[in-house]
Amino acid sequence: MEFSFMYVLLSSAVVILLLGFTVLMIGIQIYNSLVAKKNQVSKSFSSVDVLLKKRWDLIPNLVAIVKNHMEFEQQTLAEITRLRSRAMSGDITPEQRLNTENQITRTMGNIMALIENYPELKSNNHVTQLLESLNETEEQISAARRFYNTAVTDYNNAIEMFPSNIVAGYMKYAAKELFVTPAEERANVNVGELFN
Amino acid sequence: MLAIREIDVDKSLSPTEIDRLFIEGDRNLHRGNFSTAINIFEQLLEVIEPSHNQYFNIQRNLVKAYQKQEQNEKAIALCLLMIDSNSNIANLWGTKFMANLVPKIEQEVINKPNEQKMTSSSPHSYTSHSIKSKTLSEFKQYCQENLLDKLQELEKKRINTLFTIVISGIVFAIATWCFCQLIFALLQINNSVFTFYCAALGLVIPVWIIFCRGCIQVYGIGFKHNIIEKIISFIDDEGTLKYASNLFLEDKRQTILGFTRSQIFRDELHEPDKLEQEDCVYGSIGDTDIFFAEIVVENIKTAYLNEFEKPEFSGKSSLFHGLFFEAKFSKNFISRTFILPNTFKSKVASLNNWRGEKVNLEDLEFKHIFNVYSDNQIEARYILSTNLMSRLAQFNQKAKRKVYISFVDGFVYIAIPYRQNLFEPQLFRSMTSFSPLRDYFLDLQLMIGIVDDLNLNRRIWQK
Repeated sequence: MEFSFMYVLLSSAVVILLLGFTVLMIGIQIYNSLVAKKNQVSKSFSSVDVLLKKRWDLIPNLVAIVKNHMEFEQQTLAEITRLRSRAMSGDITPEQRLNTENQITRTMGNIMALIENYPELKSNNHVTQLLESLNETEEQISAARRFYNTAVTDYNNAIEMFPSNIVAGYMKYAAKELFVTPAEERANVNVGELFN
Repeated sequence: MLAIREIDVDKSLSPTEIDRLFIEGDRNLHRGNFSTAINIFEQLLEVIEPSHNQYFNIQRNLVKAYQKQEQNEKAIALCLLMIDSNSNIANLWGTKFMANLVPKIEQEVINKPNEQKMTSSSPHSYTSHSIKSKTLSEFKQYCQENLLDKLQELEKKRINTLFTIVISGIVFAIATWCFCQLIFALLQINNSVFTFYCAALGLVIPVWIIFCRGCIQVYGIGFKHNIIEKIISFIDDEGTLKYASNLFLEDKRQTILGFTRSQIFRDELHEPDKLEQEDCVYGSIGDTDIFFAEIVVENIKTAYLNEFEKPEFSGKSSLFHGLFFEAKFSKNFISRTFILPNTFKSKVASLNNWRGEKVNLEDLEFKHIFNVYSDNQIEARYILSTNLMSRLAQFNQKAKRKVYISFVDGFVYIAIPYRQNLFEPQLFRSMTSFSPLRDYFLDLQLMIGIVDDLNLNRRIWQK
C-alpha cells in the first residue's frame, strides 16, 4: 500500500491542527480558571475589608460607653482610637494596614477582657448589646479570613502546579499571602497580666 | 423585567399566569435581582386575593427580597401583616422571620396568647441550663426502679398477643380446611381438596392479618405513655420537654412547613404531598426551643390527567423516614447552608446546584464526613466555626448514621434517616430484656442532646 506525499502531508496537517486546537482549548480553560481564581481572591478580600470597616464603626460606640467607667484603662482606649484612625487613613500600605488591623483585634480583645473587671459595665444593657455585636463582627471577620485563605490557597496551588503554572507565568501572576495569625495572638491570652 | 410589564392591575390573572409570574419572581430572588423580584411580588400581591394558595408564598418571598435589598422597614411591616393575618401558616412564618429581624418585636409576638409551639428565646439572656447526659448504667438502674412493673405487665401482654396470633392462625387454617372438606362433601366433588384449600386461604389470610394488626394495636395501647414518656422524663430531669405520641392538624402543618423550609431533600418550592408524624417532643432546653419527631414524608407520583383534567395517581415514593429536628440557631444569618453526608450524589456539585456553591472547608475530618453547599461562602464559615465542625463530626460518630443538616433563615434542621418504625413496642423481642429499651433511650438521648452537642445555648452573638 502506497501513500502519496500529499496524503501524508494532509494527514499530518490535520493531526497537528487537532493537537493545536486541543492545546488551545486547554490553554483557554486554564486561563479562564486562573482569572476566576484571582477574582475569587479579590472578592474574598473585599468581604474581609467590608467587615473590618463594620468593626471600625463599632469602636467609637464602645469607647464612648466604657470611657466613663474604665478610668484606669484610658491608655488602652486612646490606643484603640489611634489605631482606628491609622487604619482608616488611606496613606498606609496594605501590609501596614494588616498589621494595624491585627493590633486592633488584639486591643479589642484586651478591652473585652477588662470589661469583666467592671460589674457595672457588665450589667449595662448597651455594653452587653455592643459586646454581642462585636463578638458577631469578630466571628464574621474570622469567617471572611477563612474564606480568603481558602481562595488564596486555591489560587496559589493553581499558579504553582503544572501545567497551569506555565499560563500563570505568561500572565505574570504571583503567589499571594495568606492571612496569618500574629505570633502574639497565637499565644494564650493571660488575662491576669492585663490587670497589672 | 418583561414579566412585570405584563401585569395589569385591573385585570385578574389566570392561575397559570400567577404561577408563571411567581416562578419568575422566585428565580430573580435566587439570582440576586432583588429589585425585579420585589416589583413582581408587590404587583402580584395587589392582583391576587389573600385566600389564593400562592398568597403566603408571595408574601414570604417578598419579605426575603426586602431583607436582601436592606429595606428592613418594609420587611418588618409585611411580617407584621402576616402575623396579624388569619392564615396560621403566615402567622407562624412571620413570627419566626421576625425573630431574625427585630428581637424586641419578636418578644411581644411571643407573649401573645395564641402562642405557637416554636418560639424564640430571650435574645440577651445568658442564663442557660443544659440537660445532663445520662449513662446507660444510670438508665438501667432507672428502668429497674421505675419501669420494671410496667415492663413485666407489657411482657405478659406481648406473650398473650403472640399466643393469640399463633392460635388464631391455627384456628383459621383448620376452620378453612374443615369448611373446604364440608363444601366438597356437600357438593360430592371427588377432586383433590388441596387446590381449593389454597385458594380459600388466599381469602382468609387477609382477614387473619387484619385480626393480627388489631391484636398488635391493643398490645401497644399505653406503651408510649408508660414507657416512652417515662424515658423522656428520665433524660429531661428539668421537665422542660413535652411528649405527644401524635400531633394533628395545625401542629402537623407546622412540621410540614418546617420540613419544606429546611430544604434538606428538596427546594422550598416543593411541599411534600404527604407527611405523617408521631412521637413528637417539644419544649425548651436552656434558651433554645426545640422540636423533633419521627416523620414519614412521601411524594405522590402523578401519571396523567384524566378526562376531567384531574390528576390520576400512579403511586407514591418515600422521600424521608426518620427523625427530624428543628431549633433556632444561636447565630443570626439569612442564607442557606446545607451539610450532606459524603456520598457520590452530594459530591457532584452539578447535582446540587440549587443548594448554592460548594464550600471547601479546612477541617479534614469534617470534610471526610460531609459535603457543604451554601448561598454565601462567608456565612457558611460564620455558621460552621472550627468548633462547630468538630462538634458535628463528633455528633455524626455518635449517631452512627447518615446525618443531613441545613441552616435556613436562622434555624437549624437535622434529619436522620431510619429504616424501621421507631419507639414501637417489640413483638418478637422480650420487653423485659434491656436491648429494646437501650435503643429507645439512645435514640431519644441523641436527639435531646443535640442542643448540648452543637452548643445551641451559647448566646454571645447579637440576635
